[in-house]
Amino acid sequence: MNTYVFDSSTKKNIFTAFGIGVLLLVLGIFTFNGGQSSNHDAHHESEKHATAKADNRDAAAEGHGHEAPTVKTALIANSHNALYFFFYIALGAIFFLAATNIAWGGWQIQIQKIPLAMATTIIFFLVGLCIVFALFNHDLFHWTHESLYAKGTATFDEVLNIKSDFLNMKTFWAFTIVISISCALMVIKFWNTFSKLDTNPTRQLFSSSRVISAVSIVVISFLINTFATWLWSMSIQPHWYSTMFTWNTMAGACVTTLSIIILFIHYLKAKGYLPQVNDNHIHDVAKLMFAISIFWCYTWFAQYMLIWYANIPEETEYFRLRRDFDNYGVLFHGSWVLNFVIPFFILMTRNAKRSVNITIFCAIVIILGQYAAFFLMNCPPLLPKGGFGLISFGLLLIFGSIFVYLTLMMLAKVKDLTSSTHPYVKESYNHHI
Amino acid sequence: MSDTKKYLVGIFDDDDVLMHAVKDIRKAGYEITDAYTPFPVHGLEHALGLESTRLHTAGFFFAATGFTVALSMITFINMFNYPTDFGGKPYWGLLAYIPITFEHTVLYSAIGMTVSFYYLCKLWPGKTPKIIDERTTDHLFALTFELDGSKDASYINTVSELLKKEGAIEVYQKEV
Repeated sequence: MNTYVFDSSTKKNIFTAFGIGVLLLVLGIFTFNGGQSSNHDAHHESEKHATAKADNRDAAAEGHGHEAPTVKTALIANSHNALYFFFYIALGAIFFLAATNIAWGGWQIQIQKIPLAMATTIIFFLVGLCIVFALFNHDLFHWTHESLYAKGTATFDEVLNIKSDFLNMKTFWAFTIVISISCALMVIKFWNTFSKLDTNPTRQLFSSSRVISAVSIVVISFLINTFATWLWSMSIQPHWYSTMFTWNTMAGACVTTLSIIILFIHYLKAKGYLPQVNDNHIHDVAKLMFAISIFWCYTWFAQYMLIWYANIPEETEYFRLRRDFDNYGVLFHGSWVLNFVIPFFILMTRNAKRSVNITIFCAIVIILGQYAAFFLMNCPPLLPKGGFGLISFGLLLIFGSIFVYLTLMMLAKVKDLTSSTHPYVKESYNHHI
Repeated sequence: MSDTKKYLVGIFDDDDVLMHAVKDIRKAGYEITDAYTPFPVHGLEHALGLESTRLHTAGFFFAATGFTVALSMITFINMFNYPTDFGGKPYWGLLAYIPITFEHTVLYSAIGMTVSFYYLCKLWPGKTPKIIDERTTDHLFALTFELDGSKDASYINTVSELLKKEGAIEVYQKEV
């Protein structure tokens, strides 16, 4: 019983979730009103006719600023956000593999096929993101409009003109392609090495798994994580930037990845797999979940406070768009409660970290909270007056079920679910804390 | 010192032997007062059946105290005692207080837990420590059984026999 079998009842559940997602999406499309009141439209029109550069900033901060967000904008923004969210979860899975292997980790050996399977889904989400970027880059990214760079015209934007040395389509696609290729290479390398370790474990393979981990850490931190967040997410609001943004994204991704790993462990254990995985392994994953949710809160708060404290008015645009209670205030503060307050107080004790129900509850809370946090990073510039609703939940379920389906499909291809031939597996069997 | 206690001491020279001895002796129904080892032996506290420490609960309350003190003090100073306008920000700028509140929370819990730990271990400056056997600080392991008034000679005999059977290299009585 060391190979996972993707049974039909699980498939049926995933299809049901997918169906509910489609239903919510369709409902959301028909009930979409852009969160817009007619009052706001009038205000917006007057703003549009003002030609000062200051207004240009304002319009840019609110997306394109020319019209009320349409269903199309909402769909594009939400799809991009959901794809980006799951792309980052898969990236977090690669990071988990790399970080635990480079640290001579022993405890995770039995469960490391779960992040390995999760990591392989990154290819699907990268393709999805590239399609969105190719087809809808003008809808997503304000800075792609040529008219912003025509000197002497009313639409000329000096700030973006300065930034255009970096923020242009050539750089964008160059980095997108490099990131996609390096993600695919890392996944393939990890998959091949661990598959070979299952069938024919050698010392040389073991050390090469550590070399891949070391390279992956560098590639993830200096290439993928930085440039993916800058170009794919932060540039949606191109006038604003923050050095904490990348940290915050990666922390959010890691804590979501760990939550999903916990859910997969509980699922597999309920199905009778992973016989030697016990409370101690759950405790370790939950400990990381607890720690990284605190780290997420730290970066989230630091990003906010640095701008608040340093009196940089042009940087407050980001929070004016997200914190005010007439647009995303509830979501903004709610995501903090979901991502920090609830996990912090619930997962604090040792017994909570070892309990099945409590870890499942916290994992679900964190996944929802991080989805909201990712939505707040990506969507408010395009949907300035609110828009987190049925479309977002529908797309979360749709891409979530695709993610789970692909993960379990790849997990079924793994020959040795518990890596029972890995040199450190004994350490994992005897793990005791 | 008037508050000395009498102990039956069993000395071991191997941690595996010690672990088995602890398990067997407890199974036989004798209460072990404490074990002394030159290094932490994994799982020994569970084998001895020691209660887990409540130090972290104390730590939580120290932290809560620090949190309250810092927040209320900054609030008092910035709102009532000496209100100052910093770039038009509100007097009660909670965000700016969070780092200091956090530091206070950590400081209070750290100092509070250190002091409680010393108190619980009965350690303080100038205190002469009670050492059962000096060799336990170097290479030997000791199990102790407190001998109060209710323990008669037959108890001492059986436990001594048991200790020797389990591999103790020395068994003796000591008053510290």
